[in-house]
Amino acid sequence: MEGAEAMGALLSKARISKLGMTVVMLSFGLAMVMPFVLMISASFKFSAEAFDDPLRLIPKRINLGNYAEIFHHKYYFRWFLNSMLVAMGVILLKTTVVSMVAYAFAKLHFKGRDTLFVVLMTAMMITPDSTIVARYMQYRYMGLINSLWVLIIPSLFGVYFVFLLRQFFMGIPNELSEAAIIDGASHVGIFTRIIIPLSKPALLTMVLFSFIWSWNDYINPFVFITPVTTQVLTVGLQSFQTEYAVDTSLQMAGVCISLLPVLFIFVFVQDYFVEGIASTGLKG
Amino acid sequence: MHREEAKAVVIFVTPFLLGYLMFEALPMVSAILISLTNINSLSGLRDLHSLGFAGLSNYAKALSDGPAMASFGRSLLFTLYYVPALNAFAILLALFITRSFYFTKFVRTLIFTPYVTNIVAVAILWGLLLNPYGGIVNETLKLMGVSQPPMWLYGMRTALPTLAGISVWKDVAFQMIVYMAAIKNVPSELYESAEVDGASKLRQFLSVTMPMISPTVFAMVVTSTISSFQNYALVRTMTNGGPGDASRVAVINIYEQAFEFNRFSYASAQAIMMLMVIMLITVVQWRAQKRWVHY
Amino acid sequence: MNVRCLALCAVTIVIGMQVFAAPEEVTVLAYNQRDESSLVGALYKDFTKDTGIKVTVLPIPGSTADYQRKIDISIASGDTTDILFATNPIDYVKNILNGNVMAIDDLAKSAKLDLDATYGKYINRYKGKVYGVPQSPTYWAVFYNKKIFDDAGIAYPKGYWTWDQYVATAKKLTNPAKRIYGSFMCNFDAYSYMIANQKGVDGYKPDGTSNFDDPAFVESVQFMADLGNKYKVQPSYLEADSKKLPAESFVTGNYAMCFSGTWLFSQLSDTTKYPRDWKWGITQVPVPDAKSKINVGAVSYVMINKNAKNPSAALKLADYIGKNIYKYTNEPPALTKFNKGDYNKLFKDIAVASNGSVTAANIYDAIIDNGLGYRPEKITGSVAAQYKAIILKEVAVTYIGQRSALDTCKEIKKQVDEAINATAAK
Repeated sequence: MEGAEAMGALLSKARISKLGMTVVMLSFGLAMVMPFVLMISASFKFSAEAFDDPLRLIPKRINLGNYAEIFHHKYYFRWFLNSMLVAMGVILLKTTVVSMVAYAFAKLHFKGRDTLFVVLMTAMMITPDSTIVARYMQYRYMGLINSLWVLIIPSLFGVYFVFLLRQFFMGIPNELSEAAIIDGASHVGIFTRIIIPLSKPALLTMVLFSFIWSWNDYINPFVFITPVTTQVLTVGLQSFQTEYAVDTSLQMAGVCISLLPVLFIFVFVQDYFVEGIASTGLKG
Repeated sequence: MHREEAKAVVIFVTPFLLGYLMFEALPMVSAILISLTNINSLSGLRDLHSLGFAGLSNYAKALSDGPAMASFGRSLLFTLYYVPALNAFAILLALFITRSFYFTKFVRTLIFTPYVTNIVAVAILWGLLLNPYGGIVNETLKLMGVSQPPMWLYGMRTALPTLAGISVWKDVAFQMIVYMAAIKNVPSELYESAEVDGASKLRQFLSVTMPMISPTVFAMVVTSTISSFQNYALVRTMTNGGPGDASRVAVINIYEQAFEFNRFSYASAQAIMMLMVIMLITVVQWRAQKRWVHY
Repeated sequence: MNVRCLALCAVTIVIGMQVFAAPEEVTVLAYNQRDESSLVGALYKDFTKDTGIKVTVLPIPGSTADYQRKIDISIASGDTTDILFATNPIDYVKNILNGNVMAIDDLAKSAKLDLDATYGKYINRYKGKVYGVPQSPTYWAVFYNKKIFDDAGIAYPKGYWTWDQYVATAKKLTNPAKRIYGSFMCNFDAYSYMIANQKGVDGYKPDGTSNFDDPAFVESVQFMADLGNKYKVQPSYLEADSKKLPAESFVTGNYAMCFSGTWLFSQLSDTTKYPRDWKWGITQVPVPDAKSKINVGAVSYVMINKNAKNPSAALKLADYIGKNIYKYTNEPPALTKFNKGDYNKLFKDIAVASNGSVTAANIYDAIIDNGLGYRPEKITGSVAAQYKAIILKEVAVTYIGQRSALDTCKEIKKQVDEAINATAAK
């Protein structure tokens, strides 16, 4: 009987486990997203009530004034644009620089390569806060203060992603590059034509998180940039704060809007993870 | 071949190295220099003729500074809670997330949200859930028969592990995604041949997946160890080192010394000390990689 | 070209420069809410109109802590902005100790400004010198929600009263069913030693060590802890901290009374951002006993950067602000020659903005003519910043019920003394 067969197929073991998995993952995901939902709900409340009764997701009185204030704010979109420019600059330049040097440490051979690498890593281990005054003076001397470049250039040389990419590159078997060398390819060629295409997931991870780190950076623009028109979003949002009190709901609204690019990029990057990665060419 | 390789090394490494020297190495050197002087007030920063060489006295002072040393201890403890929990959780999630179920992309985005949620909202939500008197978690525990549920963020003993737990929750998305990328790159033939050999899923995980992603695991363990010491924003917003000093980690102490009391040399000395501790741990991890990391 | 020609050219140029000299300019590092588009902006424009000196405002986003941090870093690195502000005595002293600012006695003398005559008791001398022009003193008061009082049938508080009476009133008004608390207070450091301050007990002993083990401080800390934990008339520290209740929570209408500084006026006057359907009242602060009739408050200061580009013009602006800011922002000024009539005119604006909640006379009685003395609300001195940090973190342990007030005060004294020794040993 077709009905019974259909039913049987529907209730097949695979299907049930898939449904079960879905329930588990959805509830888990819901737990993870709660503060985010709280944030959105707070942005529609009146300031002093923002977190007064946090579990009341639909506010007693809905306040669209926060979003209105933001759209009419003199500088909000200027800040948004500045943040975007910086983040874009960082992704483009950083990807280039970092992937190149990671390749060198992973695949090229030179004396003291590994020792040098560990030495370079020490830069990651110092709290940025303790070097901030020194960096301020240094950047002032270099003329970078109060320009958006102060947020882009210094961040290109962080070792964090060099380390990550190096590990990833080291996982790519040498047979590929060796074969290419026999065929007469240069290292630059191997890099661009073999390694990079194989490393899409790692590179995309780097792009995503470099964007997020740059976009959410607060302390650097706060200290190194003063003029309002050059300022970025994270610092600008702090303007919604008086000497004694924070306009919490307004801040939350500002943060919500600022999250849109991040979420957008995340969703976009996810697609690349799922598709087109299995074809690594390692099968032959 | 060698000439070509040497040329490649120059092209690939030099730009980075130059920038690194200017923007990463130089500030570090400044920090070391400052720690060897006596700039312990803002006026000291400007009136350079009053600058004195203090040698290692800032370091000696820090070593005999009970609260400062205790804060280092707490940072280490935090790392011990944080790193294993974070990586285990992330690998687990990465495995689950690559399985087949409905709304995959949606769930992935949900898991990602804590990473980008404003820290104040995070602090408030967890403050609510974990409220020792009337929060959902403790009420549930009481119903289940636990008579004295923990004080979570307000307990002298529980504040630090609770912070570590919340930190794991917030940061897991990053590690999860990196592990996802690594797992995706394990060639499927390896699984196929293992299955042919009759290996169970668990066995496959241990003998195929783990070794193949071990370079990534290594990178994640090392980097999460290093970043676990830089947890200023989270601790500041959630407990600010409290209650009392229960969650006062090294980075809070350093920040306070530098920016609230303006004792820059002292703060720099402590920052360098922290760097040395982290470096030691990293070197130990680096040496140990021969035993378990496969390239 | 011969020498005579050159000389003529030079002289012409020099004279020309004097005549067509670029206008003088003063730069100001302002809190972001006091930028050019705010009420204070109008003051700057009028100053330019009166004196011809241009004013450039650089707003700094964030809290006062962020503002102070930015100042510390910029000025230490040689920034030449002329004017900066300190909203409380701790930041005032901090700026002096950090070498951020210059003493203005000599500048004032050459500008023929008699600061003592204008500002009298609000002048704050550190080691005999003046470092800032006072402005906008704040006072403390009890604000109350008239509707909650009416619903409970309780008479509004008026005139002299004690803390015991405050607690008793709050108890009658606390209504858990309606989620109403009788009282609200924030978690600023000043609350923790309010009673001791009102009793005139100083934060330092004559020998320079910390005085926090004085019974008055123990009483203060105990009182604050009891309000939330024992009498349960206000949110406990744990509740307020975990929910991050904002300082202006009174405007939500869930609190019968609120003990706070007069900075609350600006939120109370803003009914767009803080809408409500009830009237508020104001009365003077309660005191511990009849011997301790003191109110507290904080004076802000306009200070001049040590590296200022244009100090004399900056002083002119500072003095202008001190003398005139009340006309723009409704904040009471720090002037000696301000009489009842002037105050009433000032408070009238707040009264009007309150939609009939209060009259100018109410405000005047509550904060000016209340039979109370005036003391700075904060403990300052040689380790001002450390003192505040230590108090804040240690009292929390008592407030969550994990240590007695006595032990906390002993611990505070111990840590502050260590800080004093560390500072002296430099």
